[in-house]
Amino acid sequence: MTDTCRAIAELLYDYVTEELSPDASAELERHLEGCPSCWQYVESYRQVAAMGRNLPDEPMPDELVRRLRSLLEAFRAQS
Amino acid sequence: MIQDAKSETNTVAEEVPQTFERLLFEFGTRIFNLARRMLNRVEDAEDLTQDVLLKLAKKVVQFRGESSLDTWVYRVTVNAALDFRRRRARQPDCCVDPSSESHGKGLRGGQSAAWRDPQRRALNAEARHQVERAIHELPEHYRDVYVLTDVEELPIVEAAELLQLSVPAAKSRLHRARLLLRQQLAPYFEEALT
Repeated sequence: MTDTCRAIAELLYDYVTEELSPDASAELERHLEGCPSCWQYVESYRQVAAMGRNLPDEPMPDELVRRLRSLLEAFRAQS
Repeated sequence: MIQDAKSETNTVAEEVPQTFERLLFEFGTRIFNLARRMLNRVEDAEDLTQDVLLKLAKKVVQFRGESSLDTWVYRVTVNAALDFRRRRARQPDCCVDPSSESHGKGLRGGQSAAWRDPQRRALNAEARHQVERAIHELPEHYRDVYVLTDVEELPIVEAAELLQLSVPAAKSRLHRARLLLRQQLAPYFEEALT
């Protein structure tokens, strides 16, 4: 493992958000071309950043929906 | 213009149920899911959802449009969740079962074609379970930033403001959250990438 391999984790945020300087990005990408384990590490970090947006929302539980509808009916009865 | 007290009271009393209903259908599911992921307990998320919807319905007459309605809903929900955690004594994380399919019919219908395919549904459900479980296990100060940015897709600047963090602090927490999730989900990624 090289010094660059060890430094990859701390550069990842700026790299995936394209906030890393062009020189630093180019150096990192040169390293990734020759280091499969770092490439895999970076790709998995990208996937972690992306997977959250693909999580579907759970529907509200039936009991909560019933409770909220009852509340709504109570509001209507008062107004 | 000065309104008499009776007409002002009637206006608010009539608006609240109408507003509550609109908020329930437009934002209910989103509020519930944000609460669920921030509080890590379905029961707490249910209580918080009701509290937030009531608060929004009563306050919407005061909403002056300084921000978008979405931003305002997020702000009220996040503040309520943070207050909720501060008020309640620490309890063991429990009761959120990412694999549970027992929610029944929700107010939001529709699923993508990938979910309808039986074989892909099984694979996606397993992945979803793993991801939700990993998020559930994040320390809450990392989980909050990850949920607001990578799940809810808020800009990091907005997430930082909602959580009353500096932007560098929010970025640092998000980065740590991603590294922890990557570590937790490493076997899944190794399988997917090889």
